[in-house]
Amino acid sequence: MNYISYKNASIAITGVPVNIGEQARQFSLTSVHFSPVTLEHFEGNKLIIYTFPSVDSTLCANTIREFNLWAMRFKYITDITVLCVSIDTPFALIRFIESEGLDYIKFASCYHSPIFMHDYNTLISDSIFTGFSARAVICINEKNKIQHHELISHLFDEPDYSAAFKSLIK
Amino acid sequence: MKKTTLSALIACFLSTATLAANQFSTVTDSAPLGIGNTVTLETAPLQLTGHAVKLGDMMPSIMLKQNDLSDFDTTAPSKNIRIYNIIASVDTPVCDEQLHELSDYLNANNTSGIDFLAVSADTPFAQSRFAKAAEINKQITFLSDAVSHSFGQKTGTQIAGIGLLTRTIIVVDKNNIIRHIQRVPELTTTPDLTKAITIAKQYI
Repeated sequence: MNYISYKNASIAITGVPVNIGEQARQFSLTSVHFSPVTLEHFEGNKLIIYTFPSVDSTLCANTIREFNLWAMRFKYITDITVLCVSIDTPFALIRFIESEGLDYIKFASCYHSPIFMHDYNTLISDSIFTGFSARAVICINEKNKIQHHELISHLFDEPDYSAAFKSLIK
Repeated sequence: MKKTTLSALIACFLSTATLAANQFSTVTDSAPLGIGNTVTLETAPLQLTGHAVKLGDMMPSIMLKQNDLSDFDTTAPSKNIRIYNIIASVDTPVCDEQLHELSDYLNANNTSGIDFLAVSADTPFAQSRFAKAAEINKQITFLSDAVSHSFGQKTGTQIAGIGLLTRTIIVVDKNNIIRHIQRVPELTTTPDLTKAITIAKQYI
């Protein structure tokens, strides 16, 4: 089991450990149009999955804007898809995307079931955040191999954007 | 139901966001909850799932999250009557209108002795954002079923396959006994709030 922190408390994360070099696991998420989003949709592409508690928390919103900027800059270098995943409803995601004008990143919801969070080791299993996703970054190359993984050790710290993008241009 | 049909339906539901406010009619009819029943979304039926509660039942014990992420237990003792306003999502136009109607009612009327609860599968963060932005009356307590969907499962208000709750109003007395249920047969109509309040007042 992994632990992260929130304020001064320790929070347990449950799920299957994610290891660099192994094949990414299949998943089924829900798009903002309520259609399924699976790993196969991204086959042959470089993919950054960014998980977080909710688009309606200030830090999450800031980090998403930051990912959008990084994705915009990197699109001239290589084609990398950033997929933002949380338990927000597809309605909340679409409202957020429209109000923010986020053109360079994609969104999917795992509100239906905790399986994705379990399989990517981001499911918070105690504290007031039980059932939410922890903040994590998983980078998958065009051969579906995991190149980079960061489980952010403090729930409200920012991820290392640079390390994530650089892991996919090696 | 095929996934393609479902997406088309939801897209249709979303498109109503551009229409004017106060366009959704309030209805008095009610349909049963739970597995085996359907709710229509304009043109097509959506299956419901979960165990249906009925009049005279005890409200089952369900843990929901309040906006500050603290737990709310539906069976915790209460001195007040509870009216559960169960909605699909604060980010849809019908729910927006329904909550404004309730908020306006509370601004204009004395409803002491009754607790007003709004339950949806939205995150507590989304509910909190909505309540502030829409200036919803603070007597309404928002409760989130986002994490476990257990409210939907234990009351039969879950829409199968899309992870949202179907629009329902439930009145629960001080002994936690269910005294009134109205589950609207069509998702884009709103339940009769006045009737629920009239019934609630009989149990104060």
